Amino acid sequence: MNGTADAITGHPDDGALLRLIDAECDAGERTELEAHLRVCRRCRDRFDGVRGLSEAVSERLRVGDMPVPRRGRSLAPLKAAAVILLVGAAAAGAQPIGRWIARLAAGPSPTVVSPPPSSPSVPSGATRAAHAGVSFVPTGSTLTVVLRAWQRAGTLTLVAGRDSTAAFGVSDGSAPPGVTVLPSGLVIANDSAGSASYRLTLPPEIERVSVRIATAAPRVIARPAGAGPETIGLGGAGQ
Amino acid sequence: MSRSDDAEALVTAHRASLIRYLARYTGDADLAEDLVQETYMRLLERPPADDRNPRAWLFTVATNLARDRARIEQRRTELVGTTSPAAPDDPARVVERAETRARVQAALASLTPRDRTALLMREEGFRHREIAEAIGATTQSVGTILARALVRLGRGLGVPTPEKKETR
Repeated sequence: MNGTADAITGHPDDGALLRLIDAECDAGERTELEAHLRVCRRCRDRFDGVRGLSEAVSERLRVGDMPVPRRGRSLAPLKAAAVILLVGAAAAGAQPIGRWIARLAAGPSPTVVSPPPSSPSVPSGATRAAHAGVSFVPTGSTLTVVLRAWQRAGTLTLVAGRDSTAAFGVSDGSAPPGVTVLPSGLVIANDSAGSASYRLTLPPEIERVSVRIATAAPRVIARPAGAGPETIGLGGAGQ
Repeated sequence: MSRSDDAEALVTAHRASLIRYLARYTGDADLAEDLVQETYMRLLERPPADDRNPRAWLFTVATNLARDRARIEQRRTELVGTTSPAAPDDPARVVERAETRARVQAALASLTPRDRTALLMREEGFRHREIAEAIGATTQSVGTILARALVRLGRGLGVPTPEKKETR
């Protein structure tokens, strides 16, 4: 056996048998394995054992699958965020990120739509509260907050609330260029020169907030206990 | 059609498979949904330089996001606790399903992240070449990795394995 045999026994190893089961062998290896299996009872039994194990494991995984998630979340609301992200990337001179996606669809050139100036984007299910910010009903137990850049200064304050809605607002500084409410959180299209501070009031259903700033790893913050707020700095990548 | 439409179409086309894979990988169906959304956002923010296999790219990114999340969750488990179970229907069936799921999840969790990724990607129909790229292995070694993972998972699930048969 060439490259498929156990170095000690000379019989094909389980990896080779699995390649045969998965139709991953090249023609030469397949011919070699099939010839061996015709004359080796032990390896035929083992082949059947590996195949049976594979089928049994697949079945157990299917039986153990969790039910469809409570809410089938549509990606559609994220498209508003996508528009803002795409505009932000273009403004920052980033790579032409639509090129790859556009090629996948092999359709017409992508269109970039400008977000409404200095006003939050509020997809269905959310309400807008004038200039102060937005309130919305989050899904799941984790709220995700994405800030597109580290700022010059500013903070994000998390406060435990009692309403079933989350409330988000700019507490001081200039308003961000765009805030998009997603089914699972917010995307704040801030910029690195900004110094705005934000305040997010969390409904009881939210157990934690995942905050991602620019390309840093998400920071997960547990829901503030009691009335005490949790505040994190948004200024500089070192924080 | 806009770029977000294209990205949405791509993710939607593989959504069911991606959620099933992530739910098995993480043991948390709600988290799987979150991760699909994060994968979608990552697709828009940082699309791959190599566009030959967008499906494999989606699964690789989703796996990395799941691992990142698992590391974070591990650090804060004691602070937050576990998520609550879904609303019950028939108590006996709920218990039975919960036990089955718990056993499957425990068996999957006993695998290394690399073996778990390989095995669950195979379940979603990926070729060995694609799995190899996702886990950073050679294509030739994937068969061995999968066979080893199958045996370990089979033992955890109480499925007879080839080794057990030989000793009888």
